[in-house]
Amino acid sequence: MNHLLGKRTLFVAVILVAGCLVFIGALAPDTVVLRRKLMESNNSAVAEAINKAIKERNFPEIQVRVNAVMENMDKVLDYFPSGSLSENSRAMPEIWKKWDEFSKNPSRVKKAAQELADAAKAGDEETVKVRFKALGEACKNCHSSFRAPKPKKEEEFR
Amino acid sequence: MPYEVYSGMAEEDLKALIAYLRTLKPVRKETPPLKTWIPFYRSLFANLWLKFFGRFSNPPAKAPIGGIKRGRYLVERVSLCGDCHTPRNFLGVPNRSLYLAGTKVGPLGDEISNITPDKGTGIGQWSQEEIADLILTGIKPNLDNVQGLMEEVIEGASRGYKNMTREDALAIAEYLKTVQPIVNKIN
Repeated sequence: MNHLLGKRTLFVAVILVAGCLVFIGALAPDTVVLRRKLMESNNSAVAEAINKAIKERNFPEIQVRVNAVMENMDKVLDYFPSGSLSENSRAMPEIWKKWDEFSKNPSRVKKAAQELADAAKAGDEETVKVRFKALGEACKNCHSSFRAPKPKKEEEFR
Repeated sequence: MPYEVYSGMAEEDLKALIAYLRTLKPVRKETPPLKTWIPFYRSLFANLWLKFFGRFSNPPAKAPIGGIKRGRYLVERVSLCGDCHTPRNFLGVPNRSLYLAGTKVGPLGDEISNITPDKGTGIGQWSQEEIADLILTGIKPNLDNVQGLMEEVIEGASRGYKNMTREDALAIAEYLKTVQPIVNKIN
């Protein structure tokens, strides 16, 4: 009797796990879309806005925009659930193979953003420019290691 | 390899380039065989191509030392920006009417950006400082970074555009701001 119960429990567990995997699989494309939105619309657009504010010496605007980057960095790892690869995404499998290394990047970006916010708060234009570049370097460090280049097309005559 | 374009390089720069190449450690590596559908490529076609389409030019006695002239010299005769950033026809001849306007299918299949000063599809909104920053770091004004071939030429195997002086990067930026803006949306 106990033996049969054990088999049934195992069977139900297997079904549940398989169901969860299918569910996660079904969610993956949405996650990719949301992730792209976060990286392109939010971060790139925000960076452009910060750049514009720097040129206009609008330090309060810089602080507001940098805070948005920091908020994004608090949640960005949630957008990389295990194996969320897609042909619409340039995320590399190395993200999950080297998760410990990858997962340190948002805090590095956040630190660089905080330093930029501090310089903006102090109204120090030269330091703001330097730290804006440092923020770019922090973004680049992650992109270079964990984002694949755009897919290549068939080469023309060369 | 567009080696004929280097014919426009000042002799002192050419000698410096050769001197640098001679400092590199020898590496034993087979050159992969040429893959082409064109018969007699090396013995006939390449020579004919160079005769009709080769971009040979006379080198200046001295390389320009600054400003737009220096930028143009670097773009056209040293860095060869147009070699990737100008689309080619089916014979591989650069389309001069789209000089530096980018291409969706460039060398090795990479998408190559429009770097003319067109404000909508090129880099017309970028300042000279921002262009120089991209050349030296690969980081765009929106803090995204270039990847693919451009990243390779910036980073280099040991040295790349990242090692260029800021003055030279700014001279390139200054020159790029003077070329004909061309509307050509790539990405």
